[in-house]
Amino acid sequence: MTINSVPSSKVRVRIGHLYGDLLNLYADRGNILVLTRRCEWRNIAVEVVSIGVGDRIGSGEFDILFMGGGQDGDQQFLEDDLFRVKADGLRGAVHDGVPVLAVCGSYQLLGHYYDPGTGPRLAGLGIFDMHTVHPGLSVRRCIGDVVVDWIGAPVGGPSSVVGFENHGGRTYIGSGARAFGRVVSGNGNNGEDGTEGVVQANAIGTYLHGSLLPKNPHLADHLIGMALARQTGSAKLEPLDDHLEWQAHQTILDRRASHVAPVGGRVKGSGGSAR
Amino acid sequence: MRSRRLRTGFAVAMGQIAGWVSRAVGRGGGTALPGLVVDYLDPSALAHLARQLPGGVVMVTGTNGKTTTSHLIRAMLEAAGWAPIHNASGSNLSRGVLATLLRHASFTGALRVPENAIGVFETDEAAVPRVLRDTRARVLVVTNLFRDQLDRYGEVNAIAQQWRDAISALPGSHDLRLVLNADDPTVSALDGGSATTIRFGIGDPDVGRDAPDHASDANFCPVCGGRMRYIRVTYGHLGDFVCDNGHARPTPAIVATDIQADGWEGTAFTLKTPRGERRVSLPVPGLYNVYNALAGVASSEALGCDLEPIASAIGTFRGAFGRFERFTIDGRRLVMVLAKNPVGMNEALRTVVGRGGSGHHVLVALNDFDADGRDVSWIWDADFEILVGQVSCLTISGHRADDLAVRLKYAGVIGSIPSSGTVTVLGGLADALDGAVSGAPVGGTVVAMVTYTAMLELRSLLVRRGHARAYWDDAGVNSPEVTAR
Repeated sequence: MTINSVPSSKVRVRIGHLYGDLLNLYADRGNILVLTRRCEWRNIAVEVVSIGVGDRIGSGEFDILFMGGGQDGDQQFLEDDLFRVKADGLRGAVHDGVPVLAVCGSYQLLGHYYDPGTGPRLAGLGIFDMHTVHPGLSVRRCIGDVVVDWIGAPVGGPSSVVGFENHGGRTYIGSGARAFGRVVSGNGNNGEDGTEGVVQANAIGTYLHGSLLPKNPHLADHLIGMALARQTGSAKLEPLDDHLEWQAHQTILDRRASHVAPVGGRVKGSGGSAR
Repeated sequence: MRSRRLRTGFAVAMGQIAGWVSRAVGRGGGTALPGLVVDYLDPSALAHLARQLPGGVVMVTGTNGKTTTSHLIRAMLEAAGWAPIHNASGSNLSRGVLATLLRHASFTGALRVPENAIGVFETDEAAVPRVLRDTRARVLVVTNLFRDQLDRYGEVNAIAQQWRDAISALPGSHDLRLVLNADDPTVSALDGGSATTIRFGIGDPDVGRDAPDHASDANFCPVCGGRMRYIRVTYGHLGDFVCDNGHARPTPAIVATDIQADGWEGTAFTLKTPRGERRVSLPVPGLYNVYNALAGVASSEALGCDLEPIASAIGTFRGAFGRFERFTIDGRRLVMVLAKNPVGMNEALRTVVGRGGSGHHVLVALNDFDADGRDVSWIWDADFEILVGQVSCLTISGHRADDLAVRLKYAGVIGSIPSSGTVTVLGGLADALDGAVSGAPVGGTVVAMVTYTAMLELRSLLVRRGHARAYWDDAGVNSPEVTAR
């Protein structure tokens, strides 16, 4: 899948969607659509490239990298490719300051390891200084609306980020990493230490989907801005009319005030992904 | 044994009292509460009552089409001379199945049904293991398996595994026939190669596309894990497929060919079965309803019914509540379409647009109660882009109207509405309905695509205003006996 728009300026944003044709759970497509449209509305040329199995990530090839979640079976299928074909390119991109957004399943894959609790640890790529432990299927999954205070929010703008989480694994960040945000409501990384997500260089890992970017236009623009800054030295973006987006954002903030316990929904059967 | 009977009898009596109270106060017609009470007092009551059904039990499960398929099976079996006992209200957890049986039970726990009685039970995906084990169903129909309510059920692979475990846990004496959708790779592989399975599928090369929807849940072969490739996609991830290692779609016994859609009026197709061929007209639109009809025919085949009454039941089918249900309000037609997950929404959208023309009046409502799924992410997997340039008046409603408005903005739908048209975002459904109806010309049509609780809310609004009957009346829930033929 390649979406092209007519280039009207020299800058061009090339978005790499890792396993775009395979990892698409929890509406990851919404995140890509928001990045694309917000570039188009500003007449910034934008291109989305699905990085499939066997494709390498070349140095300087992408301006933004996005990686979503997948079903467990699908995810295991990809791990081999991730380690053999993608690891070096991905590590290099993070090192070079390419903005990266990794959501849910892929967030876990980019840590040091994943401990399923029922067998041996599964190694991660170790790009993020963090690890994930699954406390067992008898322990309640983290499900529900989440509000976080984004630690790295651009000065002068809103710092709340809203989303929906649905994960069994608990993630703990190491001393070499910063949290993406502080949990205001919901569980975040582990429901214990008040952290959500991780930030390393310009890469963000998070459990928030819902989709994440549609209701958080400031975060979408932050990623686009970082991509442009690497080309032009300026992250400045033309403002857009975002009243619908902020209204949807506000709805989640208001629910937090009116709902007694919006998080921790019930799960039926033994259900859910092992992660 | 005697003490268990007494216990069941006591539980049944309490449950029936609960049912009368529930109906008397008008809260849902007692479609689940009596079952909940009885199940609590006597967990063995479901098995005890269901196993008294002379014709046994047909279970219907799957992500989409459970309600419509079970209504179709009921109509077909009635035409074939059976007296179906059916949880027609769509109350489909084990308590709903139990509540349905309780209406036919005596205070001693004996089932009072005619000799030709047979259970037709729509069953929630998560309730399949329990209901299958307890009722010893003779036929299990699986319509399809799509992404739906990830917050509630987990991912689709996990559900398929639960079903496989439930089937393999049955005792050897339990003779179960599976009725499976051949076009759904995951569903089709549920039987592990059993010879008694009856499969259904669409065999019309002119139907569908060559690539799956964005919301595809079947990227990998359920047998070997290899990459799945599609020769043809009818909708969602249903179609004709083969994996890298050669695991291909099995040939279905029940097939629809030469499919012709006729707007809101329905779909005509040629039905091919081991008992012969018939040209039939299904009076409910949407390709997925062709699948539902095929599932019904395959179930009837599993029970050994003749083709003639089955084919005629298709032609006179009225549809289930809230599924392409039509109402007349102030001279306008309202078509209500339940759309609760990406694939269901995509097919609803295609049916709207497939009718041709533009300038449609559309109401879309998104709720996020437990019955809808609390996670509304799925709207980003639905192809609302189909509506671009097709809509003149758009009304966006429900508890999550704001999320839906953002989705429709990024889809380009809002931007494509002509200056003569309107876009209204109104959380309250009653006001949204009034606005959408009054905005349409007399003689015009408003299509309402709504999630589950929004459908129930809209429908009860229409009942209060005298435009519709309560769904439990319509479903025959209040009638104490099903007429035997």
